Amino acid sequence: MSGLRLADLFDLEIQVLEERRENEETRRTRYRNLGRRVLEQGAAPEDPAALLGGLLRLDPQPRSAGGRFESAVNAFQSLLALGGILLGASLSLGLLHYSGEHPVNILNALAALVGTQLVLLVFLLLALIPRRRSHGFLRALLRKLVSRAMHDAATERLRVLEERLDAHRGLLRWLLVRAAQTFGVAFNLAALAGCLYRIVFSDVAFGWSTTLHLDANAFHAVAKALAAPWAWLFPNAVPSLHLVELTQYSHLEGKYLLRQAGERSMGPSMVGGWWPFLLLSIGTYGLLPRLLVLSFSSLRVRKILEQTPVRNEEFRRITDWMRLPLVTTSASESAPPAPAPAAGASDAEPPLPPPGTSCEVVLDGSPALSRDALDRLVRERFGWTVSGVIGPKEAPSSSEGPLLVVLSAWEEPTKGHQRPLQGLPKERLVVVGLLNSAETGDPRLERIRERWKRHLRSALGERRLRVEALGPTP
Amino acid sequence: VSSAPEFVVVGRVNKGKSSIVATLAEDENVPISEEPGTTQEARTYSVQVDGAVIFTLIDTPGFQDAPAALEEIRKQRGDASVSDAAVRSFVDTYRTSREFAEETRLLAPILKGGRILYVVDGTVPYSRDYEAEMEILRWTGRPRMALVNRIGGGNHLEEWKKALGQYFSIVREFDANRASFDDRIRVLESFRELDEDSRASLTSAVDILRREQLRRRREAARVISGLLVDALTLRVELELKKDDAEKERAREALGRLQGLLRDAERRAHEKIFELYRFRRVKSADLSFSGIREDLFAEKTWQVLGLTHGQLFLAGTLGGAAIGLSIDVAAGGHTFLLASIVGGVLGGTTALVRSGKKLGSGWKVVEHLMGGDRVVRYGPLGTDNLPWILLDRALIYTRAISTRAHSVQGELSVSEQDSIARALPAEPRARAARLFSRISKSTGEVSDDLRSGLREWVEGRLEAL
Repeated sequence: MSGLRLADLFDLEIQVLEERRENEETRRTRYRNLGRRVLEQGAAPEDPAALLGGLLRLDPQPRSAGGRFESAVNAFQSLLALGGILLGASLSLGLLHYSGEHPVNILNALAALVGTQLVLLVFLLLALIPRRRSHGFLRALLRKLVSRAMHDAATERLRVLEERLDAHRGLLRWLLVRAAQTFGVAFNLAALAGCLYRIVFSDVAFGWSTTLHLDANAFHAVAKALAAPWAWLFPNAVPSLHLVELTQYSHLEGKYLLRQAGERSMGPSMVGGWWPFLLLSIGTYGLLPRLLVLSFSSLRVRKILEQTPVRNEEFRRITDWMRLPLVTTSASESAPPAPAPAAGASDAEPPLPPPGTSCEVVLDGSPALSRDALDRLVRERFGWTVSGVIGPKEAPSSSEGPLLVVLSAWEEPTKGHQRPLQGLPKERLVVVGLLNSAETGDPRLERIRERWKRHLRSALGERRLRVEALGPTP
Repeated sequence: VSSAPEFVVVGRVNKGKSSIVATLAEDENVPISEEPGTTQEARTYSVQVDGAVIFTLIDTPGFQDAPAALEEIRKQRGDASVSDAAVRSFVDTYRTSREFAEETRLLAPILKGGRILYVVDGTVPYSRDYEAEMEILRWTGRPRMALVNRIGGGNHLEEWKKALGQYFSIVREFDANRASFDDRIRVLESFRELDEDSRASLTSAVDILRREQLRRRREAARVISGLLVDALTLRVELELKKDDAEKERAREALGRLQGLLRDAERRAHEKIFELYRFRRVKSADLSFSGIREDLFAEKTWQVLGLTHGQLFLAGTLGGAAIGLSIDVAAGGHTFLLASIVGGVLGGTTALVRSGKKLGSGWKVVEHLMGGDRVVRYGPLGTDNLPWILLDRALIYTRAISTRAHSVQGELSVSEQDSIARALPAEPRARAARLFSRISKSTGEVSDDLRSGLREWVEGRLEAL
C-alpha cells in the first residue's frame, strides 16, 4: 500500500472542496472514467493511494496548488533550521566566550543550553495532547507563508483547508511539530559545534557561582544526577566533588574560592574540566529528545499520508467510484405514452331480461364448470334458466333469448376473448358473465369488469351488450 | 457486448411483465399500468456496466390469442413435427398483418436468440388455455424459465408450479413488487444454470451487481454518518445587538438550527433515494406512514430514538468505557475508580439530557476577535436527536433499498419499526461514545471518527 505526497493530499482537498456543490451522479461518472484510465496505466485497484496519485498525474500541472503548499512547508522548515543554526551557534559562542577576566559560569551555560530546552520539551508534550490548538505562533507563521505562496487562494478557503488537513489525524499539527523539531535539532547541533569550537580553539575556564545558598556538595549532587544517563559510558564526564569544589567562583572576590589571593589560575585540566559534562548535557537533554521527536513526527507525517487515502471517507468514496464499474440501465428508446383507455362504456346498457327468461350459454371450458353448477349460478344470479350450452366455435341457436358468455374475471380481455363474440348475431342481447376466482373482496374485480366493458364495446362496436359479475366460481 | 444475454419477458396481458422488467433492470421508467395493453411494442432495456451491455431485458406485448396462433403454426407446418422453423414461418407470415400482431412482436426477439422469461400470476387459478402459450414457447427451442409473479391476494402457486413444470425446467416464484436484491440475483443465477452459452456473462453480471450492492450500502452509510456528524457539530450563532433580548434571539437561533437540521435530513434522504436509482419520483413526493412526521414533532420523539432507560444505559456504558481506558493507562492503580466515575457521569448526563430536544441549549458568547456578542445554539451534544435522526435514516434506507422499481406510489414504512431501540446494548454504547466524541470535536471532525461512525452505520445497514 503506497502513500500520498503532501502536495497530492493538498491538491485532492482542493478538488473535493471545489466539487462540493456538484451533482453526485456527474462526479461519479467522471471519476469512473478517470479511474479506468488510471487502472489502464497499471494502478492496483485495491490501493487507494495509487489510484488517487494516478488521478492527479493523469493531467499533471507544472505548479499545482499542492506543489506550492509543499514548497511553502519545506521553506518554512528550512527557515526554522537556519534560525536554529544561527541561534544555537551564536548562543554557544557567546556563552563560552572567555575574556580571561571571569571564567564561564557553567550554570549559565546549562540554563541557557539545556534548561530552556527541557522547559520547551514540556510544552511540546502538552501540545501533543489531542484536541488542543497548539503551536499558535508557528501556525500563524506557516499560515502567512502558505498565504504568500498561494497568492490566488482566498483566506477563508485556506482556513477550511487547514482544518481539513488537521482532520487527517492532526496532520498539520504533526507538520508543525516536525518543523519545530528541525529547529531544535539545528539549534543543538549548532550549539554543540559552537562549544566545540570554543573548547578546541581557545582556553575556556569554567567556574560556577550563584547567589543562592548552594554549596559544593549540593551542586555536585545535581550535576551527578544530570550526568547519570552517560555515567556508565563516560565516567570521566561526570563532574567529581573535587572539580565542583575547585571551580566554585566568586565574582565579588574575582577568584576561585579555594585559591589564595593573587593566584591567577589553576591547572587547565581543572578549570576546563566541565566541558565533557556540558557537551554531553546538550547532547542528552537537547539534541537527543529533539532527534527522537523529529524522527517520530516525520514517521507520523509519513504514516498519516499513507493512511489518509484509506481512512478518509471522501477519498474512499472517490476511489470506490474510480475502481467500481458504473452500472446503468438504458432503454432502446423513450417510452411511448401509455395508450388511452378505450372509450368509456355507455351507461345506457340494455336492460336485463326478467327472471324466468331462457338463455343460451357460451362456455369455452375455462373456467371449468359443470352443468349443474352453471344452472345454479345462472338461476341465483339472474333467475334465468339455461336452455343450452355451446362451445366458443359453435353457432348459437336462432332463439330470441339472451346469450350468456361465461369468462374468468381474473383474466384481462384479449383478442382471444373477442373471437367467440364476433360471430354472434348482432341483434341478440349478449351478456358477458365474469366469474371471480374463489377469493372474494378483491378490489380489482370492479375495475376489471369496467375494463371488460370498455374493451368489448370498443372491439365489437354497437351491439346489445352487458357485462355482469357472476360471482365466485362454484 | 455481443455475448450479453437477452431475456425476452413474455406472458399474457397484465401479468406483470413490465413490472418484472422494471425490477430486474432497476428502471422505474418502464411504463407500468393496470390498464392492459400498455406495452404494445417490444422494448429493450439494457443493463450496462461502464457502457457495455451485460444483459438485456425485452418487455413485450402480452399474448392476445395464443390458441389461435398455435393452430395457425400447426397449420403452416402441415405436419406434426414442430420446431422453431414452424414458429419462424408463422412470424414471417404475420409480421406485417394486424392479425397476431402481438404474438409476432413477442416471438421475433426470441427467434433472434433471446432467452425466455415466461411470466404468470400465481394468485389467480391456472387454466388450460395457458398451454397454448407455453407450447409455442417450447417450440422456439430457446432456453426458458417461468417466473410466478404475485399480483393479487389469492394463492394458486402449487397448481401453477405443476403445470409450468411440464414446459419449463426452472420455475421460480418472483414477486415483482417485493423482490429483494437477492431474489433478483437468484433469477440470473438460475438462468446461468440453464443456459451454457450465457454462463460466463451472467457470472460476471452477478458479481458486478453484488459489488454494486455493497457499494450502495457503504455509500448509504456514508450519507447517514455524514448527516449525524453534521447534526452533532452544527451550531448557529446570531449576533446580539445592544437592544436585543437574549431569549428572543435564542429562540430565533433555535428555529434556524431546526431548519438547518430538517434540510440536512431531507438532503441525506434524497441522496439515498438517488443511490438506489430512484429518479423519476422525487423522494419529497412520496409520503411515509411513520416518518412522515416532522423531525421535531412530539410523536417522532415518542416513537423513535432511544428510550430514557436506553439513553441512560448508553451514557453509562460510554462513560465507563472512557474511564476504563484511563484505568488501563494507569496500570490498574486507580482500582477502576475512573470507570466508575465515568459511568456515573455518563449516565447522569444522559439522564438529565434525555428529556431535552436540543441538547446543550443556548448561551451568549463574546468573540475574542472583534468583540461581537453572539447567541450560540449548539452543538447539540449527545441527547436523543442523533438517535432519532439515525432511526429515521435507517428506516428510510430499509424502505428504499428493498423497494422494487416496479412499485408505484408511496413508501410503506411503519412507525413501529424503530431500529435504534432494538439495538443490542454493546453497539448502542459504541455509538454513544462516537456521538459524544464527535460532538466535542472542534473544527473538522477527524477521519478516524468519521470512518468509525461510517463503519458502525454500515454494520447496522447490513443487519437490516
